[in-house]
Amino acid sequence: MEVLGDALGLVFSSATLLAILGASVFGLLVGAIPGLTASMATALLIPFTFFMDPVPAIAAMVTVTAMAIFAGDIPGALLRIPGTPASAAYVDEAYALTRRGRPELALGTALFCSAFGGLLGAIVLIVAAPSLAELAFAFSSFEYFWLACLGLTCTVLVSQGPALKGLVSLLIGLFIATVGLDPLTGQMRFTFGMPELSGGFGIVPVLIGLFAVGEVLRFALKPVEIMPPAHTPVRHILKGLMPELWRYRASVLRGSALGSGIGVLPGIGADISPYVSYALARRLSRTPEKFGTGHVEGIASATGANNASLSAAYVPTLVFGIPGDSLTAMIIGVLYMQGLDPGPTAFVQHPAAIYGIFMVFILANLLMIPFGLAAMGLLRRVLDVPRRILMPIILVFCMIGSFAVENTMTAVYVTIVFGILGFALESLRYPLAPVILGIVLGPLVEDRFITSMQFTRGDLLGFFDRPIACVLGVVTLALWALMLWSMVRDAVRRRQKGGELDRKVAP
Amino acid sequence: MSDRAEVREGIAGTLTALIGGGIVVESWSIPTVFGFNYGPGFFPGLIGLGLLVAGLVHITTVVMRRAPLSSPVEAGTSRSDGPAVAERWWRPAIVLLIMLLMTIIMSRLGFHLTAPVALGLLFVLFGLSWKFAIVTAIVMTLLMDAIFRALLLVPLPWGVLTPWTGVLAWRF
Repeated sequence: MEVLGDALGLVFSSATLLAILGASVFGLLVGAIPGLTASMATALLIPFTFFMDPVPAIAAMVTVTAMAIFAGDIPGALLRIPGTPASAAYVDEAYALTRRGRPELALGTALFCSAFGGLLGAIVLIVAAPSLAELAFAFSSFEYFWLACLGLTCTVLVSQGPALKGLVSLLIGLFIATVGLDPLTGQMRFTFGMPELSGGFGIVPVLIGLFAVGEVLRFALKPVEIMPPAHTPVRHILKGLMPELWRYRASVLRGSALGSGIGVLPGIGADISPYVSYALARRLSRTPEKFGTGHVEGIASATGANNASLSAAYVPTLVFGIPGDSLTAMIIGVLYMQGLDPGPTAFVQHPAAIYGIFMVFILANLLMIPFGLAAMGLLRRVLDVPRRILMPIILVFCMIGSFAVENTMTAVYVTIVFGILGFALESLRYPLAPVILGIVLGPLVEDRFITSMQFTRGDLLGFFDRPIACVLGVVTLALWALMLWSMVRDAVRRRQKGGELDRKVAP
Repeated sequence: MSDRAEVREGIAGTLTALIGGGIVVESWSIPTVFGFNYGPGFFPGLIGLGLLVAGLVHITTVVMRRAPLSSPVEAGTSRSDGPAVAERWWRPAIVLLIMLLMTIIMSRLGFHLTAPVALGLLFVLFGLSWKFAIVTAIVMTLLMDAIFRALLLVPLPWGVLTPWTGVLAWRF
């Protein structure tokens, strides 16, 4: 009880409430602008959290991700432009509803189901995290190694595009994490004689470079302005909404529960759950023929899953220090910066802060409703801001933000270099999420791998001696085998298809 | 896949393999510490090997695809905005140049002189008028100064304005 009292004190302090308020406005604003993503909003906020206490900092991060993910539904529903990769799952459904003259229903469904899903995911987090933390105390280097590998494998598995590119992105991230002093022997690696790199690359300049600068460079290459919607009145959002949502309560609950379940798995995160949830809702619906024509059931199920998995992704993040996706990978960076090293010991060493973070999830998802309603009212002005005005401002913010964290120009150079890397990777259709997870999990994977190798004296079968490690190892290897098999199968099919085409074309 | 895309993919695969090979070679050169069976180069070496293999598989995939997909049915499918995008490659290059120059010059000239110039140039590059660019660049610089220097107490470099810091700090 004393811990809960302390946690309440931390959450309802003026600093935390102010951080939540500011992050809400910022998240809604950035998320609602077409082309600006939740990842960019989160990356841009990181330098500001450096100047906050731990709980306000994490509160700001939690709030900005939740708000930006929801706000991404706004351009999705009105302009058919998904704000996040996850919202692409139901963007056509929401836009179809807007075209039928019901934008307020699409937005209202997205808002309330996002908040409900987020709350359900937060409950899963609150219930599951402490129990899993107790279990995690029994984990040795073998279990951590396999769990981290499983997370990295899932990231490659669910990343967009070919698995080979996902793997290359992951390896690039893991390599970036090795730059600097070797933690075990203290030797320099890949610093090329530059003492500034002895501590490795700072996570904030790297994230800002990959996500924000890369996005600005892509805009410079393809300066596509998005036209604001012509006539999409979004007044009377609440009118007739509740009976409609009540009718599809089973789908909302099922989608949110599914999202929570998927979110708990390390390395999977929010991106896949709306797709699975939407497909399941369609399959189990009494009116599957309405899907694709602006059906509330599909939107409700998928948006609920989206925010539920976002909240639940904090379970592996907080308990094992293994992020669910690129957003939670950024949160891990902030946790380390704030001295709240994630893992089971955090539940013993900082219980008030951990319970405070839990409460922030509830608060952020509850605040999403009034703030979301207000944001929809101000929507038109936000959608009207041309990106050619925003992008230069974002770019200079990125540079000063990177400088602010480390107070050195080296951080700005790192931001530029990683901006180029992010731009190049995206241009060649390599996913960015595995890079981030590789950077964040790299030190953990290497440390546990080398420790385990020393322990087993190089015997790789020793990695399967312990029961949990054995299960995790077998699942990880099975997933790799599955990916390899599907890659080979696709290559063979492509070749056969190509051969048939050539035979048809040949005289 | 178009010829242009094939070349791009081929270059990407080759670069991956080369980087992987480079990492392997560099990892070998890191000495192993006495008492450790697996030195600081062991794990990066495995990563390098992974990149090398992935790069070679990528190249093989492109080569295998090349013959069948050169048919007229598939060729040219992704050429729609290829040349237009190729003509605009100078724009991200200019953005990077502005960023780089701003970083180099900022420690000498100071944030308050370099930021408005960089912002103004970027606005103009993105097609806004000079008048709008100048006014917005100055306003945004003042806003950033208020957020980072005044509110977050970030020691933004004053550069040549250092002698007047005391006076300007009240203004900015």
